[in-house]
This record gives sequence, structure tokens and C-alpha cells, in this order.
Amino acid sequence: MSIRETTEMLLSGRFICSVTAPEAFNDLNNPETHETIGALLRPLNRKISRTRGGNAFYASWISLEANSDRDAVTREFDAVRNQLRPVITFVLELMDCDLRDHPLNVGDIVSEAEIVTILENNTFLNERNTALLRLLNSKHTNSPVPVQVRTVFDSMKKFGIIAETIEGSRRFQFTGKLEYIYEVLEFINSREQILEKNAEEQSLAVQGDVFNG
Amino acid sequence: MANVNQKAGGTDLIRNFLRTLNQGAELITAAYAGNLEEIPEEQENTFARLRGQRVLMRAGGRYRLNPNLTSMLNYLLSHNSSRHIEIDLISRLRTLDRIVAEYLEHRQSGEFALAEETLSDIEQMTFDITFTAQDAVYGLANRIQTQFGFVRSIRDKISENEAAISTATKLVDNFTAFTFTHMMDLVRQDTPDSPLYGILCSGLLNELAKCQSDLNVILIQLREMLATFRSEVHKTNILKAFHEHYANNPDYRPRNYADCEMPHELFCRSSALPMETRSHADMLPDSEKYNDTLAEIVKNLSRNEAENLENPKTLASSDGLEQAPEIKSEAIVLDDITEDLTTLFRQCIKSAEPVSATEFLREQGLGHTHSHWLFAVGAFYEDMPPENRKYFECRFIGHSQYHEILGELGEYQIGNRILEDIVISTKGL
Repeated sequence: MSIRETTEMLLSGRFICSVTAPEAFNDLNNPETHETIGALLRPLNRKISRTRGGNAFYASWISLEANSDRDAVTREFDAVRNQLRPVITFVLELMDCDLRDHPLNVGDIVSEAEIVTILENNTFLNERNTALLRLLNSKHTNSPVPVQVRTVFDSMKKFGIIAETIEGSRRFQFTGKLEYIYEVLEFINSREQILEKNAEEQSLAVQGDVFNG
Repeated sequence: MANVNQKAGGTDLIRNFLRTLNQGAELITAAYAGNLEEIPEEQENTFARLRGQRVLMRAGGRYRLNPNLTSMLNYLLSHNSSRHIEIDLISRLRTLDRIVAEYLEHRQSGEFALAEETLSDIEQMTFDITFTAQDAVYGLANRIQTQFGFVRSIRDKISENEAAISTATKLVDNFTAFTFTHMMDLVRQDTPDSPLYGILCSGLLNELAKCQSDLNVILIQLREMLATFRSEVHKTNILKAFHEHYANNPDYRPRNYADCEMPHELFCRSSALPMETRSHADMLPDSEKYNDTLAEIVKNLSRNEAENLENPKTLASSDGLEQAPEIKSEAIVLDDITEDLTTLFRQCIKSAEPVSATEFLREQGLGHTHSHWLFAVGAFYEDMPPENRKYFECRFIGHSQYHEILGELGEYQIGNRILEDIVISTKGL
């Protein structure tokens, strides 16, 4: 892929990973092209950033002296903040569908048809999917399971969390944005101690149960 | 020195034997599983060869494998399915010491035939130790390759990984028990031309050193993998904690981490650049060679210009659509310039000669940007009522930039008109 296309992808605000743009991802992994693209972005007040796991690249602002840049950052943060809960719910739901105790990662494949089959035979998971639809403000909460699942997958695709492996196959791969979301959660947790708070809440709940007989 | 496995007949016999086993693989497998009740007609020759090699026999009305071969197959199967890694090399070192002591005793008491036999045992023992060490290292490497594929849950993988690290560490301890000093102590007790040096130092210690080097690499990988597994558990815990937290606190929203002097890099992600660079003359596929120049030009753009390109006010505006800021700013600028435009056209009438808009700008010392001035002159002319416009003629002077692009449907061109001047003349006045 040409340097121009890779640069344009970054400027368009996309996450570049091995799933969404393998060639651009290779360009950014190559120190030489990385440097060239970085030099092209610098005059536009942007730099190349990478997730800690190294599976996704994105453009970020170098400085926020201009108010318009700051507004853009606020808008972007709001968008991510609104996506957090649905994405968390989606990932946990898929983990439970697959009976796995570890989260999904960049490149993991999920088939819509398989999820439909599982949800059709599991009322608990189906209810969770309906709850997820409510989070997404979808009007399909009473639709048949295949429609519900399709709506959820389409929303996640729109968020950029998953990408279809082959257009129309309804088999999806998790993208580098998921890694970014994990890092955002990690960051928020480091500031707000959600993990600790949750452990405390659970411990209090257990104590309450014990004392209440 | 005689090879310990050298038996009468040599390697040709072994090769023939293995070939027969290979040809009879189907019969051997069926006999091992107890499913061989009858020999198919087309396999009778193979059966005859197997019987001749005492591999497969008919006994008690059934076809049976040679018990030695059955034991061998049992051993292979149990080894293949076992996750046990043999690490106890120290006890074999003690056995080795004992056999070497026997060998030395035989040599010292002049029992050279017995010493020769014991030497074979020493060699066999060193092979056994080497084989066990290599097998242990291979077993550990295999676990890394499959990421402990025999277990599914991440917690089980962590347990297996920790066990593998412990095994590898013990194995390192076992390897270090085989020291060069200890081996040389044994060698020195024999005559100067002792074959023990070749067996113990060149052979055994070299092989163990190779294993130890592989093991060090494996240990590093195991520790890295363990860290990855633990981070996966942590990630799961965070996901679940946030999920719970959201459920228990319906109004919860993470704080606005973008609202500070310089937010964390995570929250400085730049969103889409609205400028349509695809059709820009300087961003054509063959223009990468101009990247440096382009970068230099862009660097020198004023902050305001860059800001306007990246975030047009129409997008950022929160004032609704009553009056688009873009239009508002254009109207102000035109108000400012209209008087000068009127003067330009008046001068054209007064002088009755063609007037260059660029020359006029320079002569009058007007503060307008050249490109903006030309745009305004053109727009002023176009916007004139037809009854006035018919008295003027505008000649647009400039050059065109054309670029040929090979598109999906063939070659096509895009172009920009670079305006340099507008010459206004009067007609019919």
C-alpha cells in the first residue's frame, strides 16, 4: 500500500490493524515507512500512536492549542465513552456463548450464525442479548433472534470493533479498536478503581447475605 | 570402539525389518487392536513376511503380535499421551558414577574384557541421559508451541505454565549437576588415552550443554507466556468489574478524561480530517516524491489556515443551522472588498482601456490576498445584473494543471485552473 493511502487512513481517523488494513499495518510496522508517514502527519499537528499491545495504530494530536482540536478530542472521547458499555456487554456475551474464560482479542473470529444457534437454545443468553439491544437503543428487542443478533453485529461493525472477513459472509473478526477499548478501560480503572470498588461491593453483598441469614 | 547396538547382520537387516513392518502396518495395527480375525487374500504375502520376521503369529486361534513389539507400541502410546516430563537426571548421574567406578576397577584389576562390556554400559547410560534431557526439552517446547493446547481454560493454562516453569527450573538444576570438573575427575582415574573423555566430556556434556541452551530460551518464552495469560485474566476481571459497575450504578459514566490541559495520549485520538485530499493535485499516486516538499509547505502554513482546513466551522458549530458560519464569514469579507471592486470597474470605464486586476491591486496598495482578490473580481463580474455585465468583458488568465489517472474504467483526467490574473475591458460604451 502506498504511503499516501496509509496516511489518508490515519487522517480519516481509522484504527489500522492487521484485520482492517493488513498492508497499511505492515507499513506502520516498518520503521522506515513509519518515519515517513510520521513526517507527513507532523505538520498537520498529528502523530502516529500505537496501542500498548501493538495491534493497532491511530493518529493522535500532538498539541491541543487550537480550540477546534480540543473540541474534536472531546467529541471523540464522548463517542468512545458511549461505546464502552455495549462493547463490554457484547464481549462478555460472546465469551459466555463460547464458554471461554478469557476475552476476545484482535483477529479472533466470530460467526453470526453460530451465535444465533446458541442464543436460540439458551434463554439466559438470549435475555442478555435483548438487554444489549436496549443499550444500543434498538427497536428490535422483540424481533426474532436472528434479527436481534444481526442488529447487534451491525452495531459493533459500525463501532469498528469487528470487521466482516468476507463481505456478506457474516463472519467477523475483532479489530484493533477492541485493543484500544481494553486500554481505555484499563486507564479508567487505574483512575477510578472500578475493579477494587466492584470487589468491595461484592464482599459487602456476601457479608449482607451472611448476616441476613 | 564397538557400537553398543551393533549386532550380527548389521544395518541391512534392520532396514529390511523396518520395511516389512511398514508394509504390514495395517495388519499390525489390526492385530494390536485385537481386530484381526482373518488375513485378507491380498495381504497374505505381507503376513508371510511378518510371520517370517516373528512379528505376527497365529496362536490359540487368533493372530497375535510379538509381545516385544506390543510392549514397544504400548511404550510409544503411553509416552505420546503422557504429559509427564522426566527430569530426574541426578539419580542417573549417581548410576553413571557407579558404572564408571566398576569400569575403572576392571581396568585396574586387568579384566579388560569385562571393562569393555562395562564401557558399553557407560555409553548406553550417557545415551539414556541425553535422550531423557532432549525429550524433556522437546516436551516443554511443544507445550509452548501449542500454548498448552491440551487445556482450554486460561486458568488451567496458567497452572500448566507454572508447572512447566517449575519443571524447566528443576531440569536446569539437574543439568548443572553434570560438571566438567566431576567428569574430568572420573576421566583422570583412567589411563591417559581413556575412552571415557570422549564419552563423558565430548559426548554427554556437549549434548547437555545444547539442551541447557535450548532450555534457557524455553524458560524465557514460558515466563513471557505466563505474563500474557495473566494479563488476559486481568482483562477479563476488568471487563466483568465494569459490567457489574454499570449494572449496579445505572447513571455511571466514566469521568471526562479529555477535559484537561493535555489529556492522556489515548484520548488525543484525532478524528476524521474533513479535507478531501483524494482529488487534491498534490496528492496524486505519483506525487510521493514530493512528500518532503509538501511537508515543508504545510509546516509553514499559518495555524489559522490549518485550523480552517481541519475543522470547518460548519461542522463544529453548535449554533444550529440558522446561519452557517461559513456563509457569515464570506459575507463579511465581501462587504469589505465591494468598494474596491466598484472602484476597479469604474476605473476601467474611465480609462476605456483593459485593466489588470492584479496590477490594480498592486498599484492601489490594497491589503487583500491576491487569490481572494481575483476570486472576488470574478464573482463580482458574474453577479452583476445582465444589463450592466453586457458592457464588460473579463479575460481570465492562468494555466491549467492536468493529471492523468488510470481508473477502473480506463484513463481519465482531473484538472485545476490556476488563476493568475483577470483583465477587464469595456465593450459598447
